[in-house]
Amino acid sequence: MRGKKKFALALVIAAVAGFLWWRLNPSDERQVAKQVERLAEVVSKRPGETNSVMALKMNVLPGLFADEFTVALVEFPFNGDYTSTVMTSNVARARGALAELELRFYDITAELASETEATALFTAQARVRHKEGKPRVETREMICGLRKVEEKWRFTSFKEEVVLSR
Amino acid sequence: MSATTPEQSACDDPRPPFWVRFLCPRTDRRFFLRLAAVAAVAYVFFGHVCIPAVARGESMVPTYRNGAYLLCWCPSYWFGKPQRGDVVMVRLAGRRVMFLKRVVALTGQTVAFRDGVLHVDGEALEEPYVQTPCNWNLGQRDVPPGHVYVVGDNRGMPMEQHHFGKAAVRRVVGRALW
Repeated sequence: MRGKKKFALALVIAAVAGFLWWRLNPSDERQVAKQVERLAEVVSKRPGETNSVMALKMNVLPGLFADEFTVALVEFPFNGDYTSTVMTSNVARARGALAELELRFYDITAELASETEATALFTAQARVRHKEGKPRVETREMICGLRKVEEKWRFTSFKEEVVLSR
Repeated sequence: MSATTPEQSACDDPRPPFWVRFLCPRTDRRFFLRLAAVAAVAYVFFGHVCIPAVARGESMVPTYRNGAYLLCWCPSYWFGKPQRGDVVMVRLAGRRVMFLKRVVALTGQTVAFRDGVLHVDGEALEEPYVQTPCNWNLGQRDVPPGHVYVVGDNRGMPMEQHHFGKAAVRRVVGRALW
């Protein structure tokens, strides 16, 4: 009986150690997925967002993009190639024009193409409300390119996968 | 040799009544095995066979209003293909967020909207589920192999704000149950 108890205790300790190791040493795929979630968090704007929160987010944003960044969405007026600085100012301008922007990413799947290149596929849902107007929800499937620069995954592209084509 | 009646057995049974055992079960090994079995069956059934969902948005009004609960029955298309008139769920990157639309045309057919009337293979389609006035105009489209054409029932909203079009059959997860 004592042997059984010791075995169960060892099993629990091993499980806890394994969980801690997994949490503290995330794989590259997990790091990519976390970065995608971080982008959604930083770009989102809650109603009544204070200037300090906005400044904090805009400070974080350039670090998420690589030096060159490509946007290719369907029926989107701002498609093109941007530098991280220009991209940050575009996002800031867009956030400024909106009263609320809730960006959520679902079903994130990260794949490594090499040690420094990765892609992330996910469903993006944006709830947008202009200062005067009704909220609108847009749902699209996205595929992002990421590159590892200085041990940090940065976005290189943001493209749409067409699900329903007219 | 002795025999006991069922009434005597019930009186002699030291176990608590069924409802007490059901609500406060003994947490022994069998309990955890049963619990694991129930969890596994629920995961497979509600994750891959009959997926519960909530309709968000107005594109399927009046058939499905914003906030309506529905179930997506996946076995419908395990051995068959979507048929015209089916309300289907089309997956995006995964199954957490899906489009809810109606199949209006199948592979090889043509689709067009003329003054709000849907034409399939050049003929006006009668659509009793559409109850809002519509003024959409869209040139003729072919439905390529491996695709179906899906549209929402709410044609009263502007066409630009309505997601519809050709969807790959492999993306059709299942049929809405009600």
